[in-house]
Amino acid sequence: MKKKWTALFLTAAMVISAAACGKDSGSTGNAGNGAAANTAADSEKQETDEGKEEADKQEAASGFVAAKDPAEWPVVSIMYPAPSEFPAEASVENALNEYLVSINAGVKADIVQMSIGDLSTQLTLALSDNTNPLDLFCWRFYSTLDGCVKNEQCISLEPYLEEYADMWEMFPERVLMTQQIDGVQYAVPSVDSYATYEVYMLRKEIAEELGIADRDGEEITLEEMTQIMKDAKAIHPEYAYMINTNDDPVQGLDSLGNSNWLGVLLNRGVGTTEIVNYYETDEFRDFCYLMKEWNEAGLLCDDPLNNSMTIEQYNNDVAAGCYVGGYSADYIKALVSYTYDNVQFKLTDLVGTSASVLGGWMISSVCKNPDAAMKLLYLMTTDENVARYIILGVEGETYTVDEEGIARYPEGVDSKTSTWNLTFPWYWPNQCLSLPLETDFTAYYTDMLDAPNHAQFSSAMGFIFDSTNVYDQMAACATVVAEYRPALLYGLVDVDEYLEKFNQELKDAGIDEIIAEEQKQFDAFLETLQE
Amino acid sequence: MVCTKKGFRVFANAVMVTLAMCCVLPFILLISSSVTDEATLMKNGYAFIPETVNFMAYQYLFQSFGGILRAYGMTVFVTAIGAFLNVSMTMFMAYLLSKRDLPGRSFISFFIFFTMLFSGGMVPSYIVWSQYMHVGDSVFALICPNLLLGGYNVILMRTYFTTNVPQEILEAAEMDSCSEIGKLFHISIPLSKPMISTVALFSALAYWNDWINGIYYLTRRKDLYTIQNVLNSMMNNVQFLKENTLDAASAQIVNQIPTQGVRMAIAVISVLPILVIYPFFQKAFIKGIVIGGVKG
Amino acid sequence: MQKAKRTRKNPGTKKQTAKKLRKYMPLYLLSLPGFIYLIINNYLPMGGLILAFKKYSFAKGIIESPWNGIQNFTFLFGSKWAKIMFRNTICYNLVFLVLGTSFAIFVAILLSVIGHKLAKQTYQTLILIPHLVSTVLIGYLVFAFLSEKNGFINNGILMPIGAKPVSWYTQAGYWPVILVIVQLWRSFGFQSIVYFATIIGFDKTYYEAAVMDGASVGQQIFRITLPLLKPTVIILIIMALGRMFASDFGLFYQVPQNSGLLYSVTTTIDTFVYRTLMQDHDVGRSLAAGFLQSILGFVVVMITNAVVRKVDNESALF
Repeated sequence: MKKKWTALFLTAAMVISAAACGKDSGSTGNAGNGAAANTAADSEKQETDEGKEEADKQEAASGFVAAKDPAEWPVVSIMYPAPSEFPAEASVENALNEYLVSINAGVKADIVQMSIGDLSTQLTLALSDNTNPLDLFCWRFYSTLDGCVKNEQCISLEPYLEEYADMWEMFPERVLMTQQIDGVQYAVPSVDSYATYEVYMLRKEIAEELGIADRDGEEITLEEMTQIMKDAKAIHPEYAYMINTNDDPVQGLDSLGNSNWLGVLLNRGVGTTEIVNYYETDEFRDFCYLMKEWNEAGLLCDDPLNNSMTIEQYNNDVAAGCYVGGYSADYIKALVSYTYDNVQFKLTDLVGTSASVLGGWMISSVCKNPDAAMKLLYLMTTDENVARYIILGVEGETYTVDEEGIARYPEGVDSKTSTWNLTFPWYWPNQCLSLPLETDFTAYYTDMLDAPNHAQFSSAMGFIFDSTNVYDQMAACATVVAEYRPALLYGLVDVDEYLEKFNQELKDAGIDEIIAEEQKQFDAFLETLQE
Repeated sequence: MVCTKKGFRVFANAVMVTLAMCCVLPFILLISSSVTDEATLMKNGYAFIPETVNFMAYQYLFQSFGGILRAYGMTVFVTAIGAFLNVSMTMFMAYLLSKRDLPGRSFISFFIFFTMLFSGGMVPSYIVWSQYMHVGDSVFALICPNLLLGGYNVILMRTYFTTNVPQEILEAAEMDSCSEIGKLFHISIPLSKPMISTVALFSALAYWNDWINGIYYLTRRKDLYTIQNVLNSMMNNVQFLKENTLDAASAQIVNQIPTQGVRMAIAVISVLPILVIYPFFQKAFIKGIVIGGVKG
Repeated sequence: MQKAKRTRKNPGTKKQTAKKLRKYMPLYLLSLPGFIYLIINNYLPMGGLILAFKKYSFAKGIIESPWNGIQNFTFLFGSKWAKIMFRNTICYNLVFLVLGTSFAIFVAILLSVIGHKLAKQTYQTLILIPHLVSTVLIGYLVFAFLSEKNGFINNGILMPIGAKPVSWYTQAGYWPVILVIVQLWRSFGFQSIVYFATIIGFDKTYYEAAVMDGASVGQQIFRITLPLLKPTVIILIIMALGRMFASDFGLFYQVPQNSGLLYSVTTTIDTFVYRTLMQDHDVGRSLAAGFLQSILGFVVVMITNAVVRKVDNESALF
């Protein structure tokens, strides 16, 4: 009797579920196929050698023609990351679309604000919605290039390489490679300096008391830095002098895009091609000892595991010094100008790694009109006016320009009351087309463009690791790292004892397999480079 | 429950006062940190009695969220409609299930209980509600998905109907040729007011506290956000910015992060209204008990 | 079920069922919207559960995504965490269930004997506060108490009495107790409301008769209140058992501030899944974890329900 009932329930549940599946299939089958599946299929065809169709497609793509009547132009939706809601959306959209009509762009824009804290939910849903699709998005703050490609959230941009050649040429080859998987271009990288160095920033008045203010800009070692911090602590014990100790460049790492450092190149990847387990190296052990020393000397913030270890602590007078990264001293000064005056001590060289390319713009796989989306993406990257509308909004309304060519908040407005999000220029495809915001540093963007010319680059610049084969090991190791690393990096535990356990667990979780796989892929990458 | 012993009642009061204190004190901590200035909070941590008092946080909230009142309006509207529909549907289903000789009773119970265990997850739900039911970017998005009927409430209500409504009364009514629906409205509901108001409270709280539906379905209509949507987005943004402002370029955003005081103020203004509304709710609650008592 | 058996013995079963169907037809119709809603809201999306066995492709949608067997499940079992997270999830849930239920009943009984209307109302409102505060904030509050330098316990209690301050967030040993206290604190008010509503609905004549017979308070509680409460308690427990393998993410992630040193006692299935999949947006894998939790909960419920039905048919859930 019982069994019979159970069986009955189960059957019923399954029938109902199956019915549901059927319906689902209907939807994704029909609506989805409309554009999404097509484009995905197209991009696959691109790789296989269905030559004829490909050629057709190429031809179709290479001539994006604007329809005569702007009213019929396709509307491309753009994700707009918003740390709060910005009321100027309608007026920016109008102004931008008016401009697009004036240049006969053939496409219009629809800005979709997404709360940055809800991005992971909202974007996941938007990218699975093919009735009301989101067309253009950036993977930064959401996922990784690799993740988006694996989930098939974006489409290949290969069909547009020729048509928009001038755009692609703006980027160094290695930078473009950071947005490729298996040689297929999936995203347009965000224009940036592509290389940074780290400084130790100390409050100016403290540096003056210590008599070292005149050494501003000098390069120092970690030992010298330790001494400076200790001296500062002696005269101002009320401050902490370091915030987050979890900093790849200071430790000389190219983390290969993995924040857990599961396999890294030392020396930031300059002149080395050997992937190592950083946690096993003497360098890491020494660093842990140094952190222990800092902690015991009271240089670190209280409760480092629980408090937020960001520059907020510096702004709020808790810490009087911390690491900051950037491409030049002026740039860093410009960025932190809103708080205390500071002096900077240079800690590392200017080096670029894959991780220095912080974002890339993609066309979603649910997009119904990829050609139009690409056209708009092209304009966002190359057209000064389009870029400015999106980054800064409408001149006179959301920002003003002073005689130096610096963007300013309008009268009576500040970053908290601004009606448009002016603080995210680096999120967009080409920040260098906009204007520096609220700074005295007029060469902000011109220097940025010049920076790569003075930088060294990691041998792994452009290498993207495909973790498919070692996914479970990566997952297991991630938890081990989260358990042990923070305590070590904040000097809270006995180094030798803890490090030994840490390494043992990493081995059990399979770090060696991960590194072997990385090395294999990396060697293959180097080989293709040589060809 | 009848209790004539005074000693026990004193004991009961003493325990309840202690418990109530335990619940209120942390909340007072919240209120006091919402009026403490940022640097003090970061340096000295939270304190019951703030060293200095300032209302910057509240000022900031009301200034930068002109829509906060509108959001309150949305919340009240959605909560009222949603809780009413929820209670009605819950009562009907529970009453059906409380019939011991109902054909298919076990199956229906199971059918309901099964929904409490298994869920298809975020993406399939989203597809069903936004692509088939087309609730996206409308007020229905706040009312329909997930909250309109829940197995938990139905089963609670069913249990109450079966244990607290005496079978004899129902049978007597049947003798008087009272219809099934008549029995529901004239006997079971009046006798179950305590549980009905409890279920109403549960579902009202669920609507009041919900922020998921807004985030899922109101991507392009933020003007429909409820107060919890507004506040939760803000909390999430803060959380996000805190975790992602390690490089210099994003250091600028830190300036935009609402202060800790603001976050505490958020909590205070999202909880206070319920504390104000709840006693009224309870009046209905108590009234139900009195009526139930008289009839019982 | 008993009724069903009885009717089966009766030769006129079919006719009786038909008669009952007719009699209850208005009730079925009244419930119809509810059924339709459950089908739309719960059963249709359940079709998505097949994604647990697929590699979800955003481009291809649910049906066209390729199958990948049990690959979505393997990450759960790849490390020493498998054992820890199952142990933690189950143990915490059991403790929460036992302590939570008894404490909630205790509070409900106390509330029910308080005669003063205003006092009763005030208590009820105040003990509901913790339920209204989100877990992120509860995390802040707990931190306000336990922070090493500024925390209330170290600063306000331990230091004044001359004890050494404790570094709470680095010592796993304290956390099972802390988490249980936090969970009880924030859930007892809410849980006791159900019991309270049930108790005040009981027929007063039982108690009056008992008092006439000279029953003490204890006797009233143990002889009348608790037995009458039994069906409700059983149902609530069965429903809780269905969530035996699930955990409140906020409690185990935000309250201990995701402190790595506490992982051995704070890792539950949900926090592990979150930590692992945070960046990947892997719909299939997260669904697989949820599916496994549901299946296990389902098995536990079926067994419990079967046992309950054997012992006390009327109290069974179905």
